Parts: sequence; structure tokens; C-alpha cells
Amino acid sequence: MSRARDFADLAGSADAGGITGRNLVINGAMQVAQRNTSVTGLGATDGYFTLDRFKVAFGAASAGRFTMSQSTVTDLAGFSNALKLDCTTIDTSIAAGELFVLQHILEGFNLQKLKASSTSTQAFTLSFYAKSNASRAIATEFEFTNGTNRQISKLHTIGTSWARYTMTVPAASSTQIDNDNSAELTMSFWLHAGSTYTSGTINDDALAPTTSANRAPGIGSLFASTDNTLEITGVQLEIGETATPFEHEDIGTTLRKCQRYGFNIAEVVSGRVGAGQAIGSGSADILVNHPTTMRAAPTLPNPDATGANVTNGAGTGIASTAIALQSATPNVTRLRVSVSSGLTAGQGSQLTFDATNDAFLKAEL
Amino acid sequence: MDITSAKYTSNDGAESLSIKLVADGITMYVPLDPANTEYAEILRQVDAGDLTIADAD
Repeated sequence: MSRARDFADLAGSADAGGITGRNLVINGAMQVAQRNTSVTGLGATDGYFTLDRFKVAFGAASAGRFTMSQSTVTDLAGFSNALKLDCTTIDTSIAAGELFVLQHILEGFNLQKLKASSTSTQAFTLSFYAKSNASRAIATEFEFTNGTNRQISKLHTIGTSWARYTMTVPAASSTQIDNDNSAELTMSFWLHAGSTYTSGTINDDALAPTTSANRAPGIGSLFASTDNTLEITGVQLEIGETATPFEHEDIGTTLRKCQRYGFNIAEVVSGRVGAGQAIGSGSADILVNHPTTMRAAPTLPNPDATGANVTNGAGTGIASTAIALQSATPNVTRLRVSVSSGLTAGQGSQLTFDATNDAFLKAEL
Repeated sequence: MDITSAKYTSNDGAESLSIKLVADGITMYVPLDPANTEYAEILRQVDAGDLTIADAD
């Protein structure tokens, strides 16, 4: 793309919503992976495992398994990371209800600029860079949570070298985007699906009521061979019918956006997670301030007391035996940390983690 | 979400403010915020008659 074309596109983008802040996708350059940089054996349970804000979801049980990782990019100008999916167990007997999608779920508060009116939406465009081990048909899809006209898909044939792919969703009526912190739009990359989702004709013309059979006809299966890989980066969603150059942003901004949906509370200076007060000889309540206001009061999954210590009034660390979330708001979480004994009710206390411990608070969609 | 157990946490005699949940084989603590996706799913399953939340100890 020429520089003149870049400037022309950016000028058009400015008319549509601004030169900066136009990308509705968080972590589109795949730079933030607070949970893990690589997880193996995925395919049975939905969830967020590696790169922030990118979820994997499944339908009926599949034999297919894969590794999801933050890969290093060396052959695409402007990018250093990608999200990589690598099939490790095949599934060639695909039941009707099977599916495997990579999703990015968008919050209503962040989508209001897509509105043309309370019952209609402007055109918007997805762009992303991708490459695969071999030519691979995938589908991208948008599905609104509410409204009458809510779903549209597009087929893409991904090649073996990095290339940019786009999907423009035309302006539509009978659409609805609630102005709240709920999930209002799901962007999906369809990578494997059974006949429930592939037996119709792909709905690639306009937003329409969702028909399952029209969501992913024509796609291949990432689970067809253990040779199969797919890498994606530079994901951008913006108002208008033109894909403008990818909007790079500073890492602090991206991290803060990600932390609205989850953060690792062990990533605190000097291992000190929070401070509070002993409520008896065997427990203390510790307040953890969130680095930014979270989307909702967060869940604490997999609480791990190993490597956690609570200090008593003398400043001596006592090994924790259990950690529980007692209460939470979007801004602060109160942890109940148990020890065998040695605390004194009313005395100040700190919770510290060693290098082996982590705990992730999540308020994902 | 395959929930195998749900129990309110003790809050020193006051009203519980979170639930200890085991779902998809993972133990987690869920605050009582309807915007929290896990709590929303708990409420959905309770409303459907598929789940009962046990009282706190």
C-alpha cells in the first residue's frame, strides 16, 4: 500500500471516528499474555488461556486437541507477536454439533460508536494478518447478542505467507447494542465445525437473523492433521468500509485495556499483593487494589496458597494454607487468607507471594 | 459450564458475598455481581432448577 493511500485511508478514518482510538479490538497485535504464553492440550473446555481477550470455544465434544501460544513473528513488518494454534490431535470424525472458534467478545460500552441510531448500525470493517502451514479455509463471523439482524460471516482462504484479510459488515437496520458492560458483539474465527454449522449457505451478504447452518459453510478443519497451524495478528475492527493501516498503540495502553478483564495479582512490586488486617489467629483479610476499574467484580479461579505468606504484627511471614475471595467490586478484592496459627486479631498484615505463586482475577466476557 | 458444586462462603455471620464454585473441574470464588459471567451462569442454572447453592458453613 502506498503512503498516499495510507494517508487517504486515515483521512477517511478520521471522518468516521478518529485517527487514533479507532481499533475496537483489544490486544490485536498479540502483545499481552498475562496468563500464559503457551498452553498445550486445549480443546475440551472453553476459556481464555494465553493471549488476553482471545478466547477459544467449543461445541459438542471433539477428539481434536491443540496448543495455543504467543508466537514470535520475524517475517511481518511492524509485528513481533502472533496468536498461534497448532493441532496436536486430529479429529476426522466430525459430529454435527462440533465447533472450534477463536473469539474476541466486545463490551457494549466500547461499541456505542458503531451505532447509526438506537436501532441501526454503521458499516464496520475487520482486518487481520494470518498465515497457515497450508492453504486453509476459515470463516470470520460477527454476531450481536441482541437485535433482530445480528449475524454475518465471510470465508477466507489463508495462505502460507503473511497476508492481510478483510471483512466489511454493511450498515444495517434492526440491530441493537446495549450501552452497558455486557457482551454485545462476538467476533469469531471458525476453524472447525460440524454440519450443524456448515450445511447451509454462508450468510455473507448482510446482517440477518442467525441461522446455525449458515454460519460456517465452506471452512476446512484445523483438526484435520497434526501438521496444521494457523497464526493471526494485527486484528483490527473499525468503523467504515475500508481497512486502514493497523493502529499500533503503546504497551501500557494495551495492558491497561486488558486488565479491565483480568490481571495477575502476583504481578505486584516485591511480591506484596496487598495489605489488610488479621481477623483471628488463623486468618487475615487482605485488600487487593485493581490496577484499573474492571468490567465487573472479578472471579478468583484456582486459588493457590503455595508460596503465599501472611505477615503477623512482628512482620514475620507465616505460610498460607488457603486463599479465598471474600468479596469484590470492580475496583478492589478482599481475600480471606488462612494460616495454621500465629496471627493476632486486629493487627496489620500483608500478603506476599513468592516467584512460584500467581493468582488471576478475571472479569471476562 | 459444568458446575459440580456451589456453596456460599462464610462471612463472619454476615450475609455471604461470594460463592465457592467447582465448575469444569476448576475451583473458583465468584462474587455476587450479576455482571460477572460466572455468577450470571450460576443464576441461570438456579433459575432453571439445575443448581442449588449450599449454605455457608
